[in-house]
Amino acid sequence: MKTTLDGYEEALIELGKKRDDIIVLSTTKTAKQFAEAHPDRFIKLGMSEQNILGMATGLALEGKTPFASTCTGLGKNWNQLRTICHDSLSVKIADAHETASEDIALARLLPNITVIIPADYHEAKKAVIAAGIMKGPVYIRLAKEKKHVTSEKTSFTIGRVEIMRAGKDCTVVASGGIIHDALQAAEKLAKQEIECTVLDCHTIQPIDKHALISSARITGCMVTAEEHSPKGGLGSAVAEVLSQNSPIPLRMVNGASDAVNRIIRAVKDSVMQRCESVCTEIPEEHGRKLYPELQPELYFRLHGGDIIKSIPGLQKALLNMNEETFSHHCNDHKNDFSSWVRDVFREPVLSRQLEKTRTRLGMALALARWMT
Amino acid sequence: MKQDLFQIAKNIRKDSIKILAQKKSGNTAGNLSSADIFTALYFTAIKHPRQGQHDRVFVSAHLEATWHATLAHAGHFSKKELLQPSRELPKATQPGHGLSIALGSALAAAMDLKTHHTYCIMSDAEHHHGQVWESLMHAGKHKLSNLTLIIDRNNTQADGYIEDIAPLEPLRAKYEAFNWQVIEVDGHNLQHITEALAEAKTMTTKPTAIIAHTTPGKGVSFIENNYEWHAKTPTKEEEQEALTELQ
Repeated sequence: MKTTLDGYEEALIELGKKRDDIIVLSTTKTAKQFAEAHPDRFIKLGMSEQNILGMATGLALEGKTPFASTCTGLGKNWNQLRTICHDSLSVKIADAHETASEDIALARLLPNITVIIPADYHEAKKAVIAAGIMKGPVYIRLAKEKKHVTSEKTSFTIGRVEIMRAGKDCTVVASGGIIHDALQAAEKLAKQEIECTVLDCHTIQPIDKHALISSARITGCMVTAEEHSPKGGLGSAVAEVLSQNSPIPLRMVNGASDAVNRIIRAVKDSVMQRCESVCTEIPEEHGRKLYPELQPELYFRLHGGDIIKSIPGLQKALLNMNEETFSHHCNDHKNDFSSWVRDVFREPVLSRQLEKTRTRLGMALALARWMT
Repeated sequence: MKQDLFQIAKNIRKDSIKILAQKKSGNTAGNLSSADIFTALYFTAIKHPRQGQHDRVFVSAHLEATWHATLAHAGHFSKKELLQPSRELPKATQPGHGLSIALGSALAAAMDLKTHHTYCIMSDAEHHHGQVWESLMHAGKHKLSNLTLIIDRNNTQADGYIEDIAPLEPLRAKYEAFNWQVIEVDGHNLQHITEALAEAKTMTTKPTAIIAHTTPGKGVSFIENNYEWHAKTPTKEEEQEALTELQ
């Protein structure tokens, strides 16, 4: 399987063929093919991680487009990158650190820089070519991918998300190799009646605000997944957009082991919080306005003894209910909640949705959607 | 000619003192010690500073006041800009970064077979930045004869004398070992600096380092040879006193 590094190499060859200003500086083993094709435009620098960006600065000042292949995750040359960014020089950095978890934060806070995490070989190739064409500094993290999630035909625009999957219940925003896990998680969640939108957010800066805001408005809750500390990474970037535009429940997952299950848990958490916030936003009285007040004999009496008087009340009760009570009312033989909604409130559509779901979270979510 | 240069250097020192007193931040000792280097460079070595093939100069931020004063005296912008800038003046490089950037620039010139020369001026204390040694190594490897580094060797830094803190000597031998040509000069003898700059241009196989031995705070008696003036700027009274002395 071809990797993001292969994508980088192939893109460099393609760029180098057409343009003389493409220079490759390297402190890693990458860009071997470019070195063979253009030895006069390839500079090997050993482990001089500070000098590589200093030299790239000088080359860019002379009108060259230097690509610096580094592998320290900005751990040794952030100061040099800072100069490049403040002067908005066309230096492109392709970093292949395997375990860096702070580099995106370090790059993202600088001015004028574009920060990209390609998901796989195809995306890496497109990203490097796009970076070579645009002016200004670019940081590309050549992450380790698990499996190809995009193809040659998938579109790619810097600063725009790619919609990998559409669903109405929760948005999962991911970047890098973890997109593969996010898609798997979405697959599993769909079997539990939770439909996720999965966005491939390959550009962390400038982030696709419009896509995030509109997806937030549609799904009402969000999860970020990245192979990086959420502090300062994609998680922070998304939180910055949401908190100022469309504050909704948000969970952040980093790329440690067992990502699929942790994304599933985060999605459920986020959905649950969304239901709870709907619950507090819509007081029980609201339900009484929509539907005539029920006669006491029509109240829903829970197994534990609690009484439910309205649709918002049902949602609240579902969120707080223990599994024993739930399975008493909803099991293979019957679904009391669904029947109650059908018989008392005469809402066949909502009743069918509750019938279909058969999980506490799914029902609460269906009710939340019904009410908002 | 020689007399003229001497007067220019004096005027540059005066403007440098004025800039430092106004900015209230900067390296007074280093700016005064490098004034003769800048004078010789801009008034003898750099020939056509305004044309497309102009020589490139990268200056460390420590020496920005004297650099700007020199640029104004050499006619790059009006002297009024020094104290009341109406536009952004050329930016100096961060300490320790300059040689790397000059190296990239010189390499680009070599690739494109351009004939201009690239200069880098830095203070000796910058050798304490690791990046300087990284760039020294690679400049030597690429045999960039279009690159000249001028070191203001005044032996001071903010909290003491360099040779006491982290000695650089034998500096000449270090540069030679990195495959550089080295010329040592008295950094206050304009004739010697001029000759060294001319010699550097004739070199064809190696980059050149001119080690200019200077006196910190040169020209103003109460600043000379006192490392405390490295990271200190003159007060109003001190400014007047210095300017009178430089008359």
